[in-house]
Amino acid sequence: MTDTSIYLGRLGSLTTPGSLLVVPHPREVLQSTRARLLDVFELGAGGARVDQMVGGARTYTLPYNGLTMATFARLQAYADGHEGPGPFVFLDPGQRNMLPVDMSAATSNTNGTDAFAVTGTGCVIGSSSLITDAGPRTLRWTFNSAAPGSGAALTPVWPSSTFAYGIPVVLGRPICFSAYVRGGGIDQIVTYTPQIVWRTADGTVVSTTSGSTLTSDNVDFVRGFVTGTPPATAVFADWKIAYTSGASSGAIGFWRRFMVNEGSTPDTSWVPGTGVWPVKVLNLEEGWLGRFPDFRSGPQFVLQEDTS
Amino acid sequence: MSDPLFIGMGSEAHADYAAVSPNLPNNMATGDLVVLFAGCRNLAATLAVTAGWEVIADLGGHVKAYGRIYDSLFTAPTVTPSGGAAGDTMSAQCAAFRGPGLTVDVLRTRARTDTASHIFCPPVTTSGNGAVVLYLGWRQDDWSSAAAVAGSTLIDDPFSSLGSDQGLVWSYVLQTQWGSAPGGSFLVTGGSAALTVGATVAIAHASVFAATVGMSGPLWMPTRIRTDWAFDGYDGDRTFDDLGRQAGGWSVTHHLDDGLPDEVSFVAGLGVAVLAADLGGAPEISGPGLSARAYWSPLRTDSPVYGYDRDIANLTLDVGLVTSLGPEYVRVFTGQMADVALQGSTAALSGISANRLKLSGLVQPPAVAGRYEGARADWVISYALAASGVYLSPPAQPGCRFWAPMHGSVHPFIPSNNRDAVGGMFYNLGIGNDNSQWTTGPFHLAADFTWQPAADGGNRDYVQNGTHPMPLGDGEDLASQAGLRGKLEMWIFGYPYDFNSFPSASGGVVTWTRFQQNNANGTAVDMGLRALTTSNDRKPYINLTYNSGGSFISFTGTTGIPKDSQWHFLGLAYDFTGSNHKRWINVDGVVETDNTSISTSGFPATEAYASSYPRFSCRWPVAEVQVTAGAYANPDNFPWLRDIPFTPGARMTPSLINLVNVAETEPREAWELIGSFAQAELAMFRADEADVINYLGPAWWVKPAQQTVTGQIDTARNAKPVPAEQDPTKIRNAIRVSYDLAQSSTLHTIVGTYSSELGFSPGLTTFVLPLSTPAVELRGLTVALNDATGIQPTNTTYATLNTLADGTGTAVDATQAVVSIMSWHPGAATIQLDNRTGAFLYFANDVGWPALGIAGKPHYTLSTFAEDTDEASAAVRGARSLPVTVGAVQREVDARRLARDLKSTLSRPVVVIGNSSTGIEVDGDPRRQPGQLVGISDAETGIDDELWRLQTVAHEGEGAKYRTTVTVRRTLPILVIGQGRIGRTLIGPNSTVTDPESGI
Repeated sequence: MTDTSIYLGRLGSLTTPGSLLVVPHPREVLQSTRARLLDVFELGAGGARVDQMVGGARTYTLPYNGLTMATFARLQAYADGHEGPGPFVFLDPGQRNMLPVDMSAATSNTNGTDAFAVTGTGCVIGSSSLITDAGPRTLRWTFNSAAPGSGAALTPVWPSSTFAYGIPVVLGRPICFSAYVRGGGIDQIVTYTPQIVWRTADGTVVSTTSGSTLTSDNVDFVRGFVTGTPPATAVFADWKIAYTSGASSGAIGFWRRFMVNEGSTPDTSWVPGTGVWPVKVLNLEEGWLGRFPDFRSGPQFVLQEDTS
Repeated sequence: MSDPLFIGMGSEAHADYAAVSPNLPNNMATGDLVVLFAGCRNLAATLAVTAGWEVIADLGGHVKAYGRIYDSLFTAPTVTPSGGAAGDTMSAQCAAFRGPGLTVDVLRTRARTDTASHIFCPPVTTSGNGAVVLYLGWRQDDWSSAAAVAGSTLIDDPFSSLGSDQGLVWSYVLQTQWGSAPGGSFLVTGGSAALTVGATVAIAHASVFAATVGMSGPLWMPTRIRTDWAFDGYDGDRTFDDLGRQAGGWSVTHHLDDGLPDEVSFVAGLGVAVLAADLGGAPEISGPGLSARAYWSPLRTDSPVYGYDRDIANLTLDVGLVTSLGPEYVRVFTGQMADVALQGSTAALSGISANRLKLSGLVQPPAVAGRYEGARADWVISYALAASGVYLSPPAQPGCRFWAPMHGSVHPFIPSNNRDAVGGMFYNLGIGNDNSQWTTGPFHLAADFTWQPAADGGNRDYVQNGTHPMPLGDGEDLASQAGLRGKLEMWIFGYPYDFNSFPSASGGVVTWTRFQQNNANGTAVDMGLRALTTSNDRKPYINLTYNSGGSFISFTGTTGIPKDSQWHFLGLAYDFTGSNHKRWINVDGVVETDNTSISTSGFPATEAYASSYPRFSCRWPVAEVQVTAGAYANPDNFPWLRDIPFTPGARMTPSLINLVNVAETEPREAWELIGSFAQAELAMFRADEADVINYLGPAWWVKPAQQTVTGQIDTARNAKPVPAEQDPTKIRNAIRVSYDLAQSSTLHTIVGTYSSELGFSPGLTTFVLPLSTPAVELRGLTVALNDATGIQPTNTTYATLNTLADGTGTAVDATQAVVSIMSWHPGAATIQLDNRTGAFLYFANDVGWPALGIAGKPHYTLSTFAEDTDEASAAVRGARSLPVTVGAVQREVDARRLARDLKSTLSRPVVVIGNSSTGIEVDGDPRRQPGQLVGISDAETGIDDELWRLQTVAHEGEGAKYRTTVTVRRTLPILVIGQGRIGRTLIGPNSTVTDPESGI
């Protein structure tokens, strides 16, 4: 972990030096609990049945002992509308994996492939329960053609209606995309190239950074990764796993442990991701001690993820 | 849920009466469905296959399809014939499909054997999404090639001359949405006509939803609420068509209108699905996001929904669940928006069945004389549905000039006017003997026309025009220089008798069906199905007589309608406009054409039929007859009726109600009109989750599907406490059904009169005259002027016009005035007086006659009643009466049946769970629908069986909290001898109606 800063800003302002707010770390615990809706149905015969929603959202609570007026004012601008209506970008350094749940979990959350898309002749993706040593599911990429084409690739489907083209990036702050693959099917040796695709706010591609190729193995999972620093006009970091060579008809790649982390190298350990979502300011408690009106005492800054 | 995929096929394998081992397809994965299609030339042969394969279609023992789920282990199967001999060609091939949930379970299979060049496969209807429909064809002769059934994708057409030769051909359709897979033919090139077998197989796409929702701890997906603001299709998730991302709480309610009178009904709702949901604002991809108040404000021009009407966009709601196969959704509501109203900080979305709204319009069916045309309630219901844009069968195409679905009457929907035939109707059904026959048709009912020998009443049950022309609606000409093109389409029954073996011989019958357009100048267009000559018996033809009758061209198809007792599409078309000189014959999708040119100059400049033409006749069961004119009649430019995609907007079991006449004297709301029939036979009437209008009579409940328990309500697993009760206030043991007994008449009488001292000024005056007796036929539209000096007419229409108001002036004759009936319906006639005298005229005379008498065939009614009492019930609890008045019943038998059914339904206490205002709360399950049979288990109340039917189902969701509140009614557990019911089943009339799909 190289950058522990907490970032807050308008979409796009993160790539504009000066308009980016680095939020002070709180003295106390930064609460970032992700709530998933549960419902307890009390049965007529006694006992309970529990229903749950597939999604969830975090509430960030930043409790401060005190903030100077200048620092408080920058938070207040987000709370009171001076920075516009939002929603805003909030990058929590405590969330190392910035990919959403079903993407980072390689379909394990819904058993479906809605978080992914594939292109290429004869390419099909599915949710596989064949390999379960690192989660119940892997993403299965099947090649039904020995010539899937140079454009064959696995890409994400971003779930946010606001952050529709990837993860918001910070100018000069490198990120790393990584994933693991294992071969299967008729031909288990296929070569891929992981990539980060830098995009503008409307999704236009700025540039693409390619990592080293990786070749799947028929026994062990192999990690591939790509590291890059956002170019000046980039707003989102998107990812892609491009087919490079080696597929035969019937080849399969089992993919798992997708991750995007801050830094120039992939984290040693994969951690679950819940995504970077737009946030809105839920509350900013304000008060000052007598005789110190330019000092805010005990403010609590609360942000809510908007996952619609 | 992913849609199924076709993976590929393996190489074909052939042998001369020896075992064959076709290779498996490449690229298969574990879980793929492999289908093996094999056939042997010898009809006496049987096939055996390697263990592990399941038969999914058996086309006579010598042709079979097998299925097996690929496990990455098994290898190519071996198919071994027996019972044959050298020369019997053996062929086989494998193909693979992929899709979560694909199983070897077969939904439906229909097969047909025939001797032909092409191979016909019958239609099937699937009931679950994501099915694979396979068309399978075999011919006892090889070929050069075979093309796929229209609308399907060819797998392969393997053929071989090893042995004495044969060919196999198969194609597939990957269905996203359940529905009908139309029948059609493999079009074979090369070889000769020979024995063929065609089959259509629907392979199930098994849902794991049921198993998943029944497990503990369901994981729900966000509820999908979708609309289509711009009527350009759903734009996609996270667009403004996606309302689910804004939704908080939502509810959908479905009621089963049980048809019972309100005071004893167990259901409070009206059978209309309604939706309500709370909507927040929406963050837009390119915008800052808007609050609900801003987003839904009708005044915010920056809102994506600004300017769109909020009461017309369509609306669907699907509940999704994470299953082992990925997210799977179940439709809970289909309809349209009713409103989006701001309520505090959110917006309240409301939706309602779109088809219910369509049925809010007023309809007035034309007069139908049941004695001549047949008048089952089905026809009225189908007419009211069609007039509202909801169809039981394919609707009329643009340019249609005649459309007779034959759903219980031969009276057409187009033209739908009231008829004024004199001395007999165009539809000479049974010559007025009130004995029309109806059978199960391709979509609903069909006219059961069959040629009858004289001993059985002669030309009974047979459409002919008599001396009166076939009515045609407005449109382009069909047989003149102004328009010499037309198309006749129908579904006709492959009657199992040919010309020589027709019952009691066929007499002089030369056609089985015929549409004749004879012009006054001798030119003609004549088309139909031939009879009489054995060589061309059952073959379609199109003939034209031109050059004012001096020249003739004929075109006869090579494929006849088979004798297989199946429904077949027959299409006949011609186009001789402009540079077109072409005729088409279509039998079940096999199209033959002829391009013979003719001179059209001899045809009349505009439509000028000879007297009593055009004519239509048919001597086989027939349905869905359409005649189309204009551009749409050319099949090269517009599709045949069978090829136009059609999804029924209504589902209906045959009604038990037979009417004397259809004589609606005023327009009625379509929903109310149909509902009156439902109440008269206790039919379930509702719009379901797909917004399909359901009219399900007693026959529905005897079908096997309705005896299947569709779910369990268990207080130990998914339900709150069960409030079981018997409501004695709903017990009724003495039933009186009041109705208007109707009578038909073959005689004309005066049905409307008028006299007035008001003077009618010179020129045209039009007024509406209510009829004193409803009529189903008026005797002519031209009114004869009578000087009131003779005998008062009693069965012809007349008028006495006089120059003085008291009738003492001068009687007016036809040179001075013309009285006409401009239009009429069973309740009134619109009269026009053309006063050419230059002075005031009066409808008056001085002999005491009504001055204007309208003659017609009356629809007499007599108020009466039927009653039925359960003596046993009355003996113990006293008489508890239920007087019911029904307007939809015209015959005593229907009234008695209703009284009996009400008695058997209400005379004893019935256990219900929940009432009209409360229910039992069950953990959410979007598959629950009113009418389903469910099991209930509750130790506290002692309930533990599967004899319960859902009456009301109310879904309510908010986040993970998803509840379904249901009211449930117990079905009767015993057979009541003499009353005809076992539970909700019926023993008796109409309980043996055949399902055209399953044959059950």
